[in-house]
Amino acid sequence: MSENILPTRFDRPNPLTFAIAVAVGAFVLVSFYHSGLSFEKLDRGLPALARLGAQMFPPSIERLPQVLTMLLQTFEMAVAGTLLGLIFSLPLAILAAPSLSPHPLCVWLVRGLVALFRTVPDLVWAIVFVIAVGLGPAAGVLALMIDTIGFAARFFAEAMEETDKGPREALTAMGASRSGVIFSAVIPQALPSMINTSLFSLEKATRGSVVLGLVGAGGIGIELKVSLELFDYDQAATTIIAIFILVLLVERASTWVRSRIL
Amino acid sequence: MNALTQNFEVAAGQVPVAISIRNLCKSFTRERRVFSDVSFDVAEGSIVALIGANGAGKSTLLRCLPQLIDTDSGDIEIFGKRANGVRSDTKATRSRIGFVFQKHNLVGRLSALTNVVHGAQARGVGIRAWSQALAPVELRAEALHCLERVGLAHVASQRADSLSGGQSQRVAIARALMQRPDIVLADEPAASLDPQAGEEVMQLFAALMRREKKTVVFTSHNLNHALQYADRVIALGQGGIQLDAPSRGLNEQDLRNLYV
Repeated sequence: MSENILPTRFDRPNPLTFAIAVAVGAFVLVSFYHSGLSFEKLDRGLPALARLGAQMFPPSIERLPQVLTMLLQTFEMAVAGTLLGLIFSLPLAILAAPSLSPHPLCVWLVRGLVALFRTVPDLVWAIVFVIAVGLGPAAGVLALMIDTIGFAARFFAEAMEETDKGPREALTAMGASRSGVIFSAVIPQALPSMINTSLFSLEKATRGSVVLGLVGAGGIGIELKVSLELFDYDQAATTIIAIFILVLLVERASTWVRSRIL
Repeated sequence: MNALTQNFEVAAGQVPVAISIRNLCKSFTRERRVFSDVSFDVAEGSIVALIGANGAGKSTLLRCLPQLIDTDSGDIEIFGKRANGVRSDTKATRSRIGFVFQKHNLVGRLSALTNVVHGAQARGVGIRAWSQALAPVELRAEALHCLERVGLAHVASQRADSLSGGQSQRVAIARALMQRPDIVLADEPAASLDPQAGEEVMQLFAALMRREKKTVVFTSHNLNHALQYADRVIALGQGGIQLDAPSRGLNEQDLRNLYV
């Protein structure tokens, strides 16, 4: 047997860490209490859910052509919004990357703007653009564009920051311009990550575009809203299935493209 | 012409000076002075090896020349023009200096040809040198010729990250040639390669630079390389120059003694 004393299995937490852990645990319990979630409610809710399910099936195909038309419009909104968002994300990402930006103040301002775009939900942006440009898909496209910028600009900037600094140094040493360094050394290295982010943005926008119709910003959401409000649950089921298939197809296509390109 | 005569001719003003360093000081923190009061000239067309122990300041000194690192005090002149401090024209200076790094610093995802085309960015070619796809025919042909000079024309369309270490370093040399520099700096160009590849790269590098009459300063831990390929050896250590002599009169033991 060794004469040395074995170290303890776990470090003894310091008083501050222990106090923070207790406070977090208490907050979690209070959150559950205030949410009003109870076994009684679940007991009442589950049969209601079963009744709703029964009313949804079999799904009605009465309005299938309209549903498919709106589905196409939804996907078009997602594609247009994503593309516009990605186009604006690139320059914003360059300005937000500390090692590429012309000034630290610029990094701070752009990061703040991108954080604002990201933290405000797309549904809120949709309401804002419905007020600004009126009802219809244009408001949805603008909302998705802003949402994409909030997501993609941040990840583009991080991808650029994480690139190997060696090629940058090589081009800087020979007197290449800042744009030359960015487009010759930084973006080619960050490209796989940027393509990945772009595909995730399209998936996210497709999912997001579905609900924008609830506030009048175009797409299939309005179809779902009307069906639910008129208690046409069988038609709502058709819409939900159509949305599910669209989102699934986009995710599958995105995975396939990723595996082919990256 | 050996280094001793070159030095003499530099002193007598017969050979143009490519690099002039006077009283150069550099420290990273108040406690850590890398070197101070370093002065020497490098004659046009000569090859100088900078040697010294780790931390002696070889790479730092090399990086001070194209202003990748700022100096604390002292003067650097490249072909008679101020190359450090506020009055210098950084871009113009850098465009005359090719730099070969220890870890080649190629863009792995791009082809060897595109990496070489990048070298033309030093000449203000602009967007046309961002990629071989955007480059005009003459630029692409010149890049291919640079690859030919390092014996790698056959890998022009291969991705840089598919090349071996030795091939990558040769592509980096081709990129430096594409720049059409007057001076080439190389920071331990063979250090990350196996002995065989390192020898081949150094042989090619020195032969090309001599043929093209480039002024070269390279750093190395390989004392044989310093003696074999350089006209002159400068040893840094203890914050300054410990030895500055023509390589012809030196042997490996002389240099090894400096590390003790």
